[in-house]
Amino acid sequence: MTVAVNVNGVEHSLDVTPDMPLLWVLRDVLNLTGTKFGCGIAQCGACTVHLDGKAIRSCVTPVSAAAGKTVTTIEGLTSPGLHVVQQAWIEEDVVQCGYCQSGQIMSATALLATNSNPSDADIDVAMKGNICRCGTYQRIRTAIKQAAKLAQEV
Amino acid sequence: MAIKRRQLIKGTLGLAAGSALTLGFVLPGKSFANSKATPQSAAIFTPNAFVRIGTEGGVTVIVGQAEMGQNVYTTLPMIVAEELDIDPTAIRIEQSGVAEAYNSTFLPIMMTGGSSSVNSNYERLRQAGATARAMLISAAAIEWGVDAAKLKTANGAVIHPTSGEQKSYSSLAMLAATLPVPADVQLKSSDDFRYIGKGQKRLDSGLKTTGKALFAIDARPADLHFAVVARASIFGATVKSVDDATARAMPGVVKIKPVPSGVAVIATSTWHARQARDALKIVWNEGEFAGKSSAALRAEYRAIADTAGYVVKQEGDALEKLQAATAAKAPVINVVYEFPFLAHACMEPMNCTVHDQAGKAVVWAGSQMQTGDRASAATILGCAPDSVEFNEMFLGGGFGRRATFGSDVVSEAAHVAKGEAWPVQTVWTREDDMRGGYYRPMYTHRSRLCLDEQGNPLAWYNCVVGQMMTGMENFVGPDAKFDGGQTEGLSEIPYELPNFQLEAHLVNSPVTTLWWRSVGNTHTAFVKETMIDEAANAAGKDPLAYRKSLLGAHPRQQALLDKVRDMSGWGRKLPTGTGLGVAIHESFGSIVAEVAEVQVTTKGIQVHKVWCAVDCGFAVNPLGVAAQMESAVVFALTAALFGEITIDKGAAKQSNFHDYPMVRMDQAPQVDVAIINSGAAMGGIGEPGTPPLFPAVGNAIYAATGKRLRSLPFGI
Repeated sequence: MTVAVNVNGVEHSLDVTPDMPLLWVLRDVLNLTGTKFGCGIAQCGACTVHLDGKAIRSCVTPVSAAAGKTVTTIEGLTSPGLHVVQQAWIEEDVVQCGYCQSGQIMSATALLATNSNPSDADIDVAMKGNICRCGTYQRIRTAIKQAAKLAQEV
Repeated sequence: MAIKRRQLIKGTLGLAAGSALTLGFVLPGKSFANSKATPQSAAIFTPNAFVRIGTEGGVTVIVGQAEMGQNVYTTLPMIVAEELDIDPTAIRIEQSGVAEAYNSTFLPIMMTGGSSSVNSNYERLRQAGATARAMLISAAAIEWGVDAAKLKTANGAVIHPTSGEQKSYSSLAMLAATLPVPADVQLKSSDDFRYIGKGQKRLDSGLKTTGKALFAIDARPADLHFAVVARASIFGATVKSVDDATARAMPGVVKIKPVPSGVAVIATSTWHARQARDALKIVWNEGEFAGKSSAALRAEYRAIADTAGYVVKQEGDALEKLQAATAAKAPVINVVYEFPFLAHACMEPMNCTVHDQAGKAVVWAGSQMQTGDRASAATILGCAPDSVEFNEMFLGGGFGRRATFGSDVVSEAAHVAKGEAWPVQTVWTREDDMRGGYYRPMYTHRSRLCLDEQGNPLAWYNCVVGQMMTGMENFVGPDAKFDGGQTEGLSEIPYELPNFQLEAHLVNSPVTTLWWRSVGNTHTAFVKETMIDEAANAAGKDPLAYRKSLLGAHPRQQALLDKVRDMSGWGRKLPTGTGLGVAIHESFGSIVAEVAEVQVTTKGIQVHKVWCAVDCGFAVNPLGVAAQMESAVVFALTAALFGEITIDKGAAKQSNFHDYPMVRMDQAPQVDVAIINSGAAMGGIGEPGTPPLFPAVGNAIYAATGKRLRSLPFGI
C-alpha cells in the first residue's frame, strides 16, 4: 500500500510497510540522512522531527501516523535561510561531534514556536529528551536563549 | 629539488584516490560540497600533504585526524592558517585518505587517540603552512621581479613592498608549483600569532546545524543495502544452529548469511533488516562464561586483590611500614575501590559501509585507526590495502570505541559485504552497541595507606586487578605481567610519598575490553585522589591545602589548585547536605584541577557546578579547550552517577539509554573553565578533563554527607 506524506514541502506517495518507523522512511527510503538514529526507543531524541509543527520522535512513529500530515526535518528547517536557532547554534559554538544536533535543534525550534522566552526550567523540560554524549548542554541552553533574542529582533 | 608539475598532479591524484567521497567543504556562509562534486582546478600547488592551493578555490587544508567532536577540523587548520597568513574561516577543509603522510608522529599508523591530535601535529602543520607561504612568496618575487625578503603576506595574498598591490595565493599557485620546496623555513614568532592562541569558533558548525554533515551511517551510495547482525549476547558464545525460515520470508529481506561474528540479515532498509534479524531462531554454544555475573566477578577480583601481584613500582618499603603501623595499632586506611565495565555509548551507533568490487573496494567508516581498519577490510576482501578507497566520515562520537586492534566493526562489515554486488551498510542497533562489549574494563583496587606523625602519607600499597585491553597482547606479548591501562595515573604520583608499592594482577574473561576516554586514568585518578582525600581527612586537614602541602615540587599543580580554590570560593559556608570536593590529575601531558559542588538530598545526588582549571602548556584554541573540559565533565559525570554495564548470565544486562542512562539537560552542571598557559610542553585536551571529575564528585559527596563512596557508579 502507499502512504501519502508531505516532507519538507514535497508530497511523497510512498510504497512502504505502514508500520515502518518514519525515521527509517526518511533515512533509508528518502535518503534524508540529517535525521539521526540513536536509540530506536524514543530515549535519546536524535531522531526528532516536526509532525504538523510538533516535535516527535520519528523512531517510534509509524509512517502511517504521518499520512496526510506535514513532516519537517532538519533539511527542511533551513529553507530559505538559516533558522534563528541554527544561527544561535553557530554563534554560541554549540556543536561538537554534531550527531545529536539535528534532534536538539528540532526540539529547540519546537520549544520556541510555542514559548518565545523560555526559562531555564522550560528549557529543561523541552530539552531533557535529547541526549548529547559530548555534553554540549551548557551551550545549548545559552543558544536557545540567544535564539529567543534573535527571534524578537526579526 | 625542483618538483615537476606532472609529478605534483600525479601525487595529488594518488591522494584523491583515497579521499574521493570524503567531506571536503567550503566554509561558513558558502555552500558545502564533497570533494568529488567540486574537483580542484587543474593546476594545483601541493607543497606537502597538508596544503593544496588551486588556481581557483583558494587554500585547502587536508586533515588526517578523525573529527569526532574534539575540533580537529578547526584547530588543525588554524595552525596551518597561522603560518600561511590566511584567515582560518577562508580555508577549505578536506579529510585525507589513508596515506603514510598522515601517520601519527609517534606510531606508524593513522590514529586519532591519546589526546594527541594538536600537540603531535603542531610542528609539522606549522612547517606545512610556512613552507607553502615561502614558496608563494618566491613565486610573487619572480613575477614582480623584487627581492623575496621584502614581501609580506596577509589574508591569503602576497603584498608588494612599495605599491601595496596584492597577489592572491591562487593566482600564484601555478608558478609556485614549479619552484623547489625549501628545506628550511622560518616559523613565526609566537608574538606575531594572529590566530593561534585566540578562540576560533568551530568551522564545521554550518554543516552540523543543517543536517549536512555526513557521518558513516549517512553514506548512501547507489543501490545501498542494509544489514543487521545477530551476535551472541553471551560473551564468548558461538552459533550452534540457525533457523531462518521465518526471517527469510519477511518483507524487505534480501539475504541471510553467516559471518564470523554471527548471522547477518541483509535487507532493503535498516528497519527491515532488524525486524528479520530479531526473527532469527539461533541456538548458541554458550560456553563457560554463561554462568557469570558481575557479583561473582567482583568477588573474584576482591579475592585476587588481596594476594600479592606483579610489582609494577616500588619506592622505599611500603609493606614494611604498613606492617609496622598495624603492629603499633596506628591508623591504616585499608579500603577497596571498585569500578564497573563501561560502554562508550557513542551517539552514532557502530556502523560501516563496504562495497566489494572484486579486487578493489570502497569503505565508508568513522575510524580512529584508518590504517588498520583499511588493512583489515582489504585482507577480508582479498585485495591490496591501496585498492581500498577508505572514506573517513564524521564520527558521531569516538571516545576510543572506534579504535580497535582487530577493527571489529569494519571487519564485520567487510565480511557482510564480501562477494555482494552492491554496497552494504552494517548497522548496530543501540542494543547491539550497548551489549557488544569493548568496554572500559572492570577494575578492583586494594589500597592501604598510613600517615607519619605530621599526618603526611608515609606508605601506600595499592594492588589493582583487571583485564588487559582486547588485542593489546599482540603488542606487549603474551607474557606481559600487567597492562598500562591498569596502572597509568598511579605509577607516577606527584605527592610527597616516601614509600609506595604498586602491584597488578591480570585476569581474563571473554568480555572484550578497550580504552575509554582517558583510559587507565578513568579509575586510577579516582583511587589516587580519593585516597589522598581520605588521608587529609584522617590527618584532620583541609583536603585542598593538604594537597598543596604535598605538591611542593610541582608549581603547575599548585597554580591550578590555587585557581580552582579561588574560582569555587573554597572554604565558604554551604547549606547542609551540600559539599565541595576537589581533585587534580595529570594525564596525556596536561594537568586538570576540578572542584565540584554537590548537593545530596533524598532525591539523590545533584552536581550543580564544576570549576575546572586546565594547564595544557599552551592552548592553541582556547574555545576548543573549554569545550573539551565541559564535555569531559559531562562524560565523566554520566559514568560517575550511572555508568555500569553489569554481567548477568554471561551477557551485558543493560541495552539502551533507559537502563544505561546519560546525564541530560536538567542534570548537567554549569562548568566554569580557566585555562593556564604555563608554557610547559603542550599536552592533550580531549581526555584530561575526565579523570578528576570522578574523585571531585566523590570527595564532594563526602564533604556533604560524611559518607565515603568507593565503588562506582555512585548511584542517585
